[in-house]
Amino acid sequence: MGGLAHYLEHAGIPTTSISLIREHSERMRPPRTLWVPFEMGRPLGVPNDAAFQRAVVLAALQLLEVEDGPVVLQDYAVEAPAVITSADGWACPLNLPPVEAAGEIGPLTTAFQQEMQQMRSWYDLAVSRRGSTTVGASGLHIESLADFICTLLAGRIPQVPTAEIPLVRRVNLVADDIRALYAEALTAQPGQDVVGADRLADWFYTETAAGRVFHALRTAGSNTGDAELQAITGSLAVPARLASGA
Amino acid sequence: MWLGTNAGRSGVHADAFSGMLSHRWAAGSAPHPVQDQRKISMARLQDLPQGMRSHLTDLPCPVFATQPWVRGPSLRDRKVAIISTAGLHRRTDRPFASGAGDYRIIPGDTARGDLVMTHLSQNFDRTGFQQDWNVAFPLDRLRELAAEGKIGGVADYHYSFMGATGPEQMQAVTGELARLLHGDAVDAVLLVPI
Repeated sequence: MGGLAHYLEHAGIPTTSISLIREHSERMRPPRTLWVPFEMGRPLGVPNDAAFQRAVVLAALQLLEVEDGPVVLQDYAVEAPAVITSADGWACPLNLPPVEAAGEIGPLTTAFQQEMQQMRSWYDLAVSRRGSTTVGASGLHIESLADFICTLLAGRIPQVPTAEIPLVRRVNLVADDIRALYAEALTAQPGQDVVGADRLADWFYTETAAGRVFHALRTAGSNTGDAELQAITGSLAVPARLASGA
Repeated sequence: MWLGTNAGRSGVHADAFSGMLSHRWAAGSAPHPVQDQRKISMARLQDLPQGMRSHLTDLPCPVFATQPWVRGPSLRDRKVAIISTAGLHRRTDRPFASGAGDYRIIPGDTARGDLVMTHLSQNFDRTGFQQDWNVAFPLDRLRELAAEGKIGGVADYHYSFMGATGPEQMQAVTGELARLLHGDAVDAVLLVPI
């Protein structure tokens, strides 16, 4: 980000940057930087808090009026409102299909499909309320996401609308669409919008059938000895701390 | 049939995971009183494990011999554009490729539901963006500031690059981007990371 600011300013465009990694800003010395003490992925601090976000944006823009150039690095002193973390005793309010009853691939994928349907109710409500969704980057219709993953788990290559996106990247995007659907559905439930990313990841990978399917795919991929298949299942991007499925 | 035929030997059976959930889904697992349990997230850079933190902070950064500094009018007279490195693009646009140095155009009239993020990483939170695009792309906040007269206006076009891309990869297109910004009468760019 600091490098991009430098290049644009060099081309005559005044810039001001938000920074989440102060060390990078110290080394690259872009013209104007507001370092913020926020979670990676949340440069404006917190969702659904317009006043908080507006204050951050204004603080960054006001650096454009500072005369003490050519390098201004200012710290933003206000912390973002905290979120639920893995250390907290949070539990999902939904009663999802019991995964322990699924001892083979068939029952597991059935549980996954049922779970997707259950999540859809909250997901649809989330879309209705927010007027938007981040699901869909894979290019697949939402109804096809579970089938795509289940087809892979059954040992077949899924059919896709176009071959424009390489399969490894497509699996990567489909997996993220599913994670996004679950996250958007969960955070739409009463009182759940403050559940943090790491706690959501814990929940997804250890408490849902979808997470079990991802683990099963990764296990299968790692045991094939086939580099391409390993790349495909590796693209599911399971966090290292949760990769064991424990 | 690369999974199905090897399922037994490869340990794909879901019973590998059995028994892990029952205690979590026991009767009475009511929602926790979340309002009383808020804590600082562990995903802030300073709270990451040392190894991960070092990995991120020690990423190579270019060192520049010069420090350009362009002045402009008062903030209340400036037209502001957003440039993101979150891998944002319209739903109908091409997904970003990893490490790509190209950019995507985000017209100012893009609807919230038409913006997606294809920079995928376990190193940052995406749930904030999933709930509210302003947490990474504060277009609504810029519009409010313009309506309040605190900035002069909002650009007609905004831009996004892929995250985790070396700045040198982006350099080739910054001259072109500067010309586009000039054409849009932009005299302030807000750069937003992810």
